[in-house]
Amino acid sequence: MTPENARLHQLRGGLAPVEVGARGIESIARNADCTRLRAIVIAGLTPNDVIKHVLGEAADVMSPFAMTLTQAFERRLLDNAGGSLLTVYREKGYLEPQDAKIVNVADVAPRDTHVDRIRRERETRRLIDLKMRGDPTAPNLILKPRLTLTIVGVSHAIELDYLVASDKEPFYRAGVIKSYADRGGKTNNAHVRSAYREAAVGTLALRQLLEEAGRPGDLAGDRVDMVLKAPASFSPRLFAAQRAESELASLSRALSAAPSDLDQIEQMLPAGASLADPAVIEGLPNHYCSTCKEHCSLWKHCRAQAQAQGNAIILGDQAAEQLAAAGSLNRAMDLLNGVGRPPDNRAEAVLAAELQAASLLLERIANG
Amino acid sequence: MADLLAVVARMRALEKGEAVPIVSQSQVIIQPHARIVTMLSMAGEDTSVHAVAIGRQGVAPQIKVAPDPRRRDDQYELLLWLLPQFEDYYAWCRAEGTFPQIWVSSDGALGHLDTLADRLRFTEDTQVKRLGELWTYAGERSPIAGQQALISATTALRAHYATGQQDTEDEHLGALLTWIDPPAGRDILAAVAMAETQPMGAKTDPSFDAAELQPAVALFNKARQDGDVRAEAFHAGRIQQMLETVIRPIYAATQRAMAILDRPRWKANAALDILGRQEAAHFARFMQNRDAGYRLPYNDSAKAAAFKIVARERAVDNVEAASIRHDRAARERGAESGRVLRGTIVGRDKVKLAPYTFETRMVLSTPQESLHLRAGEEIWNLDDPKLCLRVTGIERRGPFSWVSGIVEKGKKAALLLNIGDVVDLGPHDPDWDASIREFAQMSTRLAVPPWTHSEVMPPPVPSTRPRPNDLLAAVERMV
Repeated sequence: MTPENARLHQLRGGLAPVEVGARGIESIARNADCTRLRAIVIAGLTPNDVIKHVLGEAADVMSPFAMTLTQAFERRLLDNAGGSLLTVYREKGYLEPQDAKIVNVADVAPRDTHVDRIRRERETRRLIDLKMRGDPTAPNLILKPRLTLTIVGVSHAIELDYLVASDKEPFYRAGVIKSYADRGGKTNNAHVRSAYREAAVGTLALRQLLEEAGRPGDLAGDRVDMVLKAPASFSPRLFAAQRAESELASLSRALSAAPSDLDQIEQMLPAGASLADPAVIEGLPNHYCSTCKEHCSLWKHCRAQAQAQGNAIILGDQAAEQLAAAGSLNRAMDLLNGVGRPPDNRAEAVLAAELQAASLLLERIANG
Repeated sequence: MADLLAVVARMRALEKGEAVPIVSQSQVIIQPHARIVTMLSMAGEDTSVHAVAIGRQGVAPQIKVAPDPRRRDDQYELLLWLLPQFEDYYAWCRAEGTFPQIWVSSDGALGHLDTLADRLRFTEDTQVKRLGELWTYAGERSPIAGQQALISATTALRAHYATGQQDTEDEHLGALLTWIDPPAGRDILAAVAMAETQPMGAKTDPSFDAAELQPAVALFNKARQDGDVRAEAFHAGRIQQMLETVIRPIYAATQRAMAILDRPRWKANAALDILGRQEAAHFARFMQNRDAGYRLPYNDSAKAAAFKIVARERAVDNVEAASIRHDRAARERGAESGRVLRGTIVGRDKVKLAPYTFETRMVLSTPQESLHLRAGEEIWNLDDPKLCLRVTGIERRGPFSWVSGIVEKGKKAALLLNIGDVVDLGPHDPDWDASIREFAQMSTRLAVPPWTHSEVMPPPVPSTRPRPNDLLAAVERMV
């Protein structure tokens, strides 16, 4: 066990590690300031595991209807040696007729065992090496590749949907398959950004792999691919080579802070404490915000904590920003009502005057 | 201040443990004949309707369930059951010269109806297609400012109340209603957390799906596959009961939202009368176009999109102009943000320019700090639409701004005002016909698609005009 792994093992306190995957790593970038979330993910757990195994509550589940649909759509694209996926790439002109080499890594080692996982990793690496060497037999589509992304000196495995590159292209792009319906301008932008970030996790893993091989990481580029489904049908809609610079940047920023966070997390915990202890989880600083509900099962706990602490974020991002000078919601309430100690500084005095003026205006508007 | 107003309202709500009103006048029309439509989709199947409840304010819902909406026959049976309800309602509205109104629980439910409209109008079944077209009226109107055709209960309530929680949390109708009518003797936050456990959108709870609904649907499908008619009917009945336990509370909550907004507490708002007339006109045009056989495309052409963008922008301006005139809260917010000049008349002169030619000049002073005014702009008396002032100068003197201008229209009305009177001046009356004039102009200009929308770049045409020495200064002079 590497020293970092031993530290993480200690942090987990006997809980079995899980593969957080691209989605788990992506969630860190959604709330980079949340130490609680980062600690959990870096330790090789997910918020859902913590809810279930540490807090002893019912974990979030995916609807079986949605799961069936997602699996069916993925199967439709990847079955028959990825024929449907290849077709959509050809139709859009991203792959030429000669770009027909497809490998499904899951076929090499299909089982969910430790040995098969390692075999999938090795096979993915071997296939990518072919491309790096400029071998003409390098596949154009690698389905279900298994890559690793090193955070805090520990490898986190990620299984992507696919990698794609034509013979002419120097290296692969990561691609994700989502069963959201493509509704043009009406497609939920948050879903799209999240999918791009998930693919961008793959791009970061490719960059690390290139750098380990002594190649420039930039070869992995800053573009990702996404396949959605047409509304009410299983026809794929391809969005190839989409710009993901901002997603890559936000991920890189969030992950680059991770090494010092592991030290910080260990320092925050009492000696011998671990994340398997509910009190330790509750004690880790969180950063509850309005988007937590979208990706983190712990949001209700963090909200309750924010409410108990009188954190202005419980009234929204705008309130947190506007009331920052007061430091807490309770203090802001005092300033609004002109009670408690007088303003500590000029910023508080200005805020108090503005809050009281706004309150008078509200009274006039609502009851006038 | 305008931003802080929303924050203070939320603080007051949290302090009181109850939502606080943020306006005194109605912000939405409630048609007495409005239909409440509650639909549940199957998770992942955004274009499905697993169950629907339809009714009106004060009326129990009619409920229809498709045991497995993934089967087209089941789905179409439900949709065809809905079609006459909308066809008759739209026809009645047309005959009455009014507009149909659909109430849904939340923005999520509104999006579901819009998705369905987009999908159904491209099906091959002419009747289902017709339902999609009828729903498209509501779907297309939903993003337009001031529309009254498709109302989300959460949006309507949020226009009247502020709660002590985050904006996004207000999207749960149950939580929002708990803030508005909190249970006596209970902690509001605990009550809200409890309310949130009940689905209020367009989907069932995933754990409910896993534990109850999916097994029932699987048994239903097995019975059908085995040709066991009794078992099939039994499981269909179970699915109906399960979904009714979910859909009825959502329908009831939407009804409750309408009842709250119908309370006499909310004073009349003349701006809504204007919006109602506009909505009726839009509806009449929409139905005429359907009669004429014009198709509703999924994606607009570049030209149609340009027209729609202009219409939307014009709608925003017109709704704002109407609200500032007739809605006290909007007027006050306008004065705070500086879009409305609230000034005291400090000077008024009638100046003779030539024989029989006079000019009326006015000077107003205001303590407003963030005034959005420029020289040359025309502003109108919000309480007397006859009076229009062209701003000629704005000067800050100590804590006051002095705004001087020439009365362009309503000179007699201006002379009736006294020194010391406080007047509110703002944008022109809503001009609903302006977009028609703009469309005529755009039609001419866009008769040939501009080069920005074609593959061919036009050849560069060197300017014959002399280049100014200081380009930036020249641009600034144009502003």
